[in-house]
Amino acid sequence: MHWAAAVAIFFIVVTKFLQYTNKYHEKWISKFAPGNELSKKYLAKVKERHELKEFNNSISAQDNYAKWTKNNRKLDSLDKEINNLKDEIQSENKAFQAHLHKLRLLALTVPFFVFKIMYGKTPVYKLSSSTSTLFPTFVSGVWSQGWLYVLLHPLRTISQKWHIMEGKFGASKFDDMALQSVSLGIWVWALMNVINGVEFIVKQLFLTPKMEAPASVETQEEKALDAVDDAIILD
Amino acid sequence: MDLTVEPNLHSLITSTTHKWIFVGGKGGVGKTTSSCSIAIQMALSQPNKQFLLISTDPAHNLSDAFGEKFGKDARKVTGMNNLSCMEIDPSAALKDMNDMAVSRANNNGSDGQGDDLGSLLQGGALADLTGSIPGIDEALSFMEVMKHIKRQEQGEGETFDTVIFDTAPTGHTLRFLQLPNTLSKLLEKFGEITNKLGPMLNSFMGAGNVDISGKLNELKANVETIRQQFTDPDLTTFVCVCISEFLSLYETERLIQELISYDMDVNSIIVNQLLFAENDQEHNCKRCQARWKMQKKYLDQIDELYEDFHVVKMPLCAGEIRGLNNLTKFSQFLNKEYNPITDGKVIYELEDKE
Repeated sequence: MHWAAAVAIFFIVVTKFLQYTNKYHEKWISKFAPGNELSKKYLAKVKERHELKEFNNSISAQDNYAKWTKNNRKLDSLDKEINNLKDEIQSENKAFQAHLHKLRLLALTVPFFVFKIMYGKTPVYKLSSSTSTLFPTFVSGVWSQGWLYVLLHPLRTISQKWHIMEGKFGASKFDDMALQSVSLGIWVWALMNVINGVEFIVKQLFLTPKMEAPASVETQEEKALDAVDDAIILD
Repeated sequence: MDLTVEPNLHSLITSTTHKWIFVGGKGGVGKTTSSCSIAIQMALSQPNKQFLLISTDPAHNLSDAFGEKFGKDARKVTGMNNLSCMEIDPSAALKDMNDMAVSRANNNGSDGQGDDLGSLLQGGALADLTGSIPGIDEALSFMEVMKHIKRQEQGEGETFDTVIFDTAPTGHTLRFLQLPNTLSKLLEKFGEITNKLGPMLNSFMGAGNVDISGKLNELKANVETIRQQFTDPDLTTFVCVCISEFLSLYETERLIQELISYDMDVNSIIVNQLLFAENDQEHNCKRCQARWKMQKKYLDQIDELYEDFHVVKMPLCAGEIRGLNNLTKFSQFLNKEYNPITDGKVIYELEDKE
């Protein structure tokens, strides 16, 4: 395997792993995030609130009015504290997540993008001469040069015509391009399309809950309106 | 330093700074009697000042309590020259607004355009329409407060040093007290819009020569003044009234917590209708004893819960506390706490008066 393909696969695997485990990220982050202490405090407060609420439900409000009311005041202040802690944790997690997002951008997305730009035209593997002639030059060109080949195609045609008009027979600059290979950019694009296609099929077949067909049961009202016999009752 | 709080309202009655005193609580606990009593005691202890007692409860009782008719305009209580009363009647106020709209429509009608509107409003459509808006009573009471503040600022007409509110049951009162906050938020939003659309709105209203953004700014300033005054403990306080029963105490607690959340000063509780049965040798009965035992249970809880409050314990009288004389007699126990041994006879004296 070409080294560039191996690097691209590494990037793709890491990206896809992060994508599939997205729903667990918050849980993982909470273990390392600076708000961890706050989370512990939050859980302790929630537990305290729950216990207090249970205790208050277990006593008679009329017989222990003062105690019951004091507990209610405590519950109110705990509710406020819990809400404040929740907000604090959320804001801290948000900040931490923003840092992680930046890290992901710098360590994964940008390097992969730069890698694709720099080594996009690197031939990952060569086509045998018999295979390369199976496809039109335009298709082979896209394979080997990437999508830029489509954009540069008019320029290439003009250049070729100019060569002919000038009487410079022979191959133009563009003809020098090796058209018997698949470039990294196209290979990554094709691989991602295959993965996305498989993902879609798996999702549709196994992960999407089954939709019930709309029921066509007659409602009571409709039943009541149905004429069951043709007898006419006179008042 | 002595940190004990007096079990009476002497400090409030003799207070020279308070401008707004709210009296509120659950329905049927004696809010009107308590507010009348506070007003009378204040008026008696500060004869050089003018006091106004306003009822914002849609079911007005001030006229019944004093035994004379009060209306939407402040009128002096017969026998007192520094205490006035008024009852804000939402339906009457709305009818006034309706009549004004009718006359305006009729005036415009001379050019042939106002006839339809005039005939529509003749039937009191505006009053019916606005009367059905939830919270209109509170809004009208609020307008009254604003009117008084304006009057005081401009020194117009009769001014009052202290206004005592006999409020509606808890829910209404809380809505009323929330109004300054709600209104200032609303007006802030309106302000943003009118700043952008002000000239356009003014051109729309050009025919009536109404400066909308100017009016809104004026209203906003008034609302802000009220909000500041209501949250100043030297100017405003709330007196909670309750009876020594579970639901009443529960509602009082709810009211106090809400008031604290509005930054309002609340440090007085009047507990009404207490039996003091053990000292009532003459008319004692088993039922009174049992009921007093229950009341004492809740009184202990009140003392435990509201240590830093003035908790005033008022007796249940033998008759209805109506009329200035009876109210004056009863109200003395707000200034100096009721002593069941020495003051016990007063509760029977009221019976024969009216």
